Amino acid sequence: MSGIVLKNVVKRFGDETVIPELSLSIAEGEFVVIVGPSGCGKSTTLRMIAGLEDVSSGSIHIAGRDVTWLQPKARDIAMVFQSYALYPHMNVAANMSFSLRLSRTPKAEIRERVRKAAEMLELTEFLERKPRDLSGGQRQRVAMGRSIVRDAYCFLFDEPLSNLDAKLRASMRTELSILHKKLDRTMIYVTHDQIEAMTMADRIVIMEKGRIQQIGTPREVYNTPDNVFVAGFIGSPSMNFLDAELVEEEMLTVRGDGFAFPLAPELAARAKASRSSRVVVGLRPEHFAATTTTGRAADSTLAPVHLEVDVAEYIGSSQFLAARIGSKQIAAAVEVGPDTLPMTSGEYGFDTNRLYLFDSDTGESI
Amino acid sequence: MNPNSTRYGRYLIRLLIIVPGFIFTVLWFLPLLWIILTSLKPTAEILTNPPQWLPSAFSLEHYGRVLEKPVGQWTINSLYIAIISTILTLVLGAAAGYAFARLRFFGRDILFWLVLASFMMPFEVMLIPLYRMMGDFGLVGTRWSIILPSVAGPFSVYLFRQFFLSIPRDLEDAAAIDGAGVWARFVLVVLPLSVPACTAVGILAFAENFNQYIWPLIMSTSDAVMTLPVGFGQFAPSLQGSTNITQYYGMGAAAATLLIIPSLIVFLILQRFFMDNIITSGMKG
Repeated sequence: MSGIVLKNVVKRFGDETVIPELSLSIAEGEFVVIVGPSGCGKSTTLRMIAGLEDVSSGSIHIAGRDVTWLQPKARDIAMVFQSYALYPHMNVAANMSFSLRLSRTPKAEIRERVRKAAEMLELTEFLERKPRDLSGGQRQRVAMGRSIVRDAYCFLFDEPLSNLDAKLRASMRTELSILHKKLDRTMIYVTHDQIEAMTMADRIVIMEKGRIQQIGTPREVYNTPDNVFVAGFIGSPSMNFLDAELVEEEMLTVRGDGFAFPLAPELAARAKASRSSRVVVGLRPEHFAATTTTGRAADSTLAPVHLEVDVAEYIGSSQFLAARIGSKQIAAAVEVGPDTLPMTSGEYGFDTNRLYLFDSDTGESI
Repeated sequence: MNPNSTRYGRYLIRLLIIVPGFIFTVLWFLPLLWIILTSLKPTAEILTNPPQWLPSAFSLEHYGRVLEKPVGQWTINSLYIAIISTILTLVLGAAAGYAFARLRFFGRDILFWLVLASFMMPFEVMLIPLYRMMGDFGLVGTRWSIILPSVAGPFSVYLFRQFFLSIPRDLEDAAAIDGAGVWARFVLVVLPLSVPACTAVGILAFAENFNQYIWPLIMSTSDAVMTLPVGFGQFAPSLQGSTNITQYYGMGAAAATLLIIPSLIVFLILQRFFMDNIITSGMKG
């Protein structure tokens, strides 16, 4: 079996269990992003794959080989660190060629590989410089370059973009995606930033408290989150959660403080089958509309809801609203066009086809 | 608040630091100055009442008398012992410090506490066992008998360990992923970044070994092994008879003045490395 497989991996630090039990299978050539809040065990997982951290039990397989107890250098992996970890006393070329020199690669080949990697990352003119003479973005590229020259089976990234400013981060995201296509290697990328996960991943692994909450494509985790945690973590601004009760009216309806939404037939059927009466309603900010009249999108069914708007933030073609439904603070993003005045309290619409229901006890999706 | 009053406050704080600092500096420097001036006085002016700071005429007679002894041989011995001790201290201290900082092995922490505990042990306690040990090795009266006990002192091990702990872990992790084993990480990544620690340990070890007195005094049985401090110690007035004692004050002062010079040179050469800290320049943005 190729790719990377983690079987029942457990990690304890002393008495504290950081990862209770984790199994994960990553296909060869796949770009997988592990995402979660800080302290969720994502970096530990990556470091165990790299061999920088021992597993307490379980096994790790890379390209069909059991590497659980192998040294990092025997695992055929490259890694980019959050701190870049460039060797301060070596220039860029020496930083990039360090691994090749250790493995006694012929000099001519080292030169050629460094040249190629430097070209790919536009670092050619900086090869003689020391890390301290480079900007943050350039250091980041050198860290990438150091792993590219390896031509390793798998690339590991530990929050590599978190020290860059927003603009550079966005452009490096694109470059990384391009790099993945060019190199066609398995890549595992750890981040706490769900935007990075959504934009780059073939598949996203969402972790919390050492456990995998959901694995899926960006589309899947956004459209069909398994539970409240995933629903709240994926999407920006994040989903609003309101306590509600299921009541039989003309249609099956969720009713709570200041709102009542009739459920779409499919969701109503699932809600009935779940037999829970107390539920949590999930509303994504972007599924609010400035109007109550249906027809914006063909498949949308707008239900009216009263929003008490506290602040309306103008961001061009839409506005972010900090508002209240009943007594509950919520966020909404409504598309109104660039010339609209700041939105005020009143009747808004919500697309009930895009409404989420969660069991209020377990947090699982209904 | 009145901006003037805060400014006066700042001046006041500065004054409170500078004035005592100045006083202590003077207090520390005065005996040294007295020794240097004494070494340049004619014998008749050394012990006067009231004391006289400046000589009526500068005289090099004491230096001449001191240099009649085999000072060249003593200097070579001292340099030989100090340089080899320093090199061995650097090599062993760095290696042991790295093991304590980064390697995981059974009993590491207990061992480290033992190293620290040996700090507390006065050297005098070890004199006799050490003497017998050197006797068993057949080393008494050789330079190596002076060198060996001083290498791998607890201080260098401790200082290196603390310094290595301050080197970002990611650097070594990156090197491990790049294919470096423990030795390659230590030699190719950690040591080149440890110039400040090596300098500090180097200066201290050199000064300590160059200036040590009691142990070389016991071990040096001839001029062939005798070190500068031991040789110059012979001029100490308290070691002389009761006659014509005054001239020994001048010779002792001249010897002490000469003794400062080598350590001072080493410090002046190496001190710029103290400041040269480039460790974190490869990290982050």
